Amino acid sequence: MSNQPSMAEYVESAQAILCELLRLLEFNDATLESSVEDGQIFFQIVTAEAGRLIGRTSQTLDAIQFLLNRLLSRQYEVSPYCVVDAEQYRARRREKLLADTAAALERVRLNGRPWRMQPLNAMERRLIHQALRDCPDVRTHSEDEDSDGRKRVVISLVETPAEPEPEEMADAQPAEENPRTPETPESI
Amino acid sequence: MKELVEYVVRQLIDHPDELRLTEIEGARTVVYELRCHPEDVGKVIGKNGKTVGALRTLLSSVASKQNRRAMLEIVE
Repeated sequence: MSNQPSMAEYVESAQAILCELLRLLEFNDATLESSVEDGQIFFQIVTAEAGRLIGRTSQTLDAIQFLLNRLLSRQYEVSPYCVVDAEQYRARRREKLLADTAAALERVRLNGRPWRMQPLNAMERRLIHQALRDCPDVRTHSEDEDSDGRKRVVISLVETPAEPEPEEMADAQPAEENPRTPETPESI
Repeated sequence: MKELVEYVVRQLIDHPDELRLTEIEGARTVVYELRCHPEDVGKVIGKNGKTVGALRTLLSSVASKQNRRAMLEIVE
């Protein structure tokens, strides 16, 4: 415990690995900015090749982040988690997913049927589970993998056995006096 | 690209001196064959193949810049 490295040392080690990865990936113009927040290290990469750096559905950015964390954890017994970002992709993606989740939540509350989100990776699914954790009227779970190994979050209403299921809900008027949503928080 | 694979893999394994990486060049493709100590195979592959998957993704990123395809095979 007494010999635990300082945060500055972790940042320096992580930055050295990331710089080397970027060099080997031939992002010759890349520059780095680092920050520390809530015990995590954030790297913002600036390059003219941001499209190639992020990759399709951020797979390249995620691969860099995954390997950076693997390599850093080989150097220390415990190490802080690193987040790698470019062009604020992570923040924009987060906003998009939260907006999709809010829309899906509204939909589930209106028509009562479970809603399957688009296939998402583990970090993204976690964001949705966390966002809906405080909504008592719905529950979320992750479906088993499909044939492509992708998983989806399913949002469904919490069963209320006392309420008999109305026959034709499809044409029922929305929101107002919906018996299964006693409280309708506007935000998630 | 070979340097990229070597840089990452060397740090993950316990027997770096037994790492062998051969490069097979084709016109548009390049194949890397990786051999290592049996105890290290799992470390290179990772849980659900996540580590080798991430490495392949990075290889593809560099290869696409050169208009090529790169493949990474672990030989046991």
